[in-house]
Amino acid sequence: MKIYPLLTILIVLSFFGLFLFQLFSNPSTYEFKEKKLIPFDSNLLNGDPYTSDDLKNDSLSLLNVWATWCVGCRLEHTYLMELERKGITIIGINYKDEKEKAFKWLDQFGNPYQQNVFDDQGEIGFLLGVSGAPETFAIKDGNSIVMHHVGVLDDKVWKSKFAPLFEK
Amino acid sequence: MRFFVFFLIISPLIFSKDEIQTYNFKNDFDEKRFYSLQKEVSCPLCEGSSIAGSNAPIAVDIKNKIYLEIVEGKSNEEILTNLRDIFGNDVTYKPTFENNMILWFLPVVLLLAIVFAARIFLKKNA
Repeated sequence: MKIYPLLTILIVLSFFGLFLFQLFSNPSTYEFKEKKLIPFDSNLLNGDPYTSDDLKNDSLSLLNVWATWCVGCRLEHTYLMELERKGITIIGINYKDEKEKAFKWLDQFGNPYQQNVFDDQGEIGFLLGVSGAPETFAIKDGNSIVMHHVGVLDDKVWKSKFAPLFEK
Repeated sequence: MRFFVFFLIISPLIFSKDEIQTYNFKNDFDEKRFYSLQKEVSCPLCEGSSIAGSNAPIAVDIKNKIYLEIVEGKSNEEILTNLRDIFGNDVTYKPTFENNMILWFLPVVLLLAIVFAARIFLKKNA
């Protein structure tokens, strides 16, 4: 019976090959399972109405969830300003915050956002699946979430998670 | 002194800002449902804990959402499905069959493939 050693070697080798493949296949892009965006209806910080339909004007939008009480948001703010200078449109979601504080923050540190949704009760954040600020989303055609990053957005995160989407 | 004691007694009323969230239900069944559902949902922020054992802001938000949906008359399965749509499949502890079909069927498929392959090889070498 020569068959069993052969079969064993084959199985072991195929597993070995699989492990090697997993070891060296270094994914430069981060995989994310697309999710449906639950429609919302809200107001901007300046009081104007804003709905998720407004996101449909762009094929890809960047949403950034922030608050004045959030330390991480202060950390990533410089990077957001840099993105804005590069011509990336950022929609802000002011999460569980107060209007006066938010305006003061934007005056003091600069405003990287094209528009700012006022989400003082955290309802929109909830629909997006926010568990705490800062979080950043990429929305495709105003109807699906194609990327979701929890935590501070920096150059490394941008390059691995968002840049591949925005360069298309 | 008397003023001081009086002050100590009423101070909790002055300084306590937290309103205690109370949940009122139409019947005991809904109330039991509320507490059992909490144990099935993991807290996205605090790993290794259900929302029942957490007072993290997001855990409280989820509890409130569950409460509202129970009052609206939604079934347990509807409530858990809505939460999965928002926070992903990992938010519920109980795995869903549809997302784990590979775990159910892969062993059977592999076993059949091995038996099949072995039979072919054995026939050839016989």
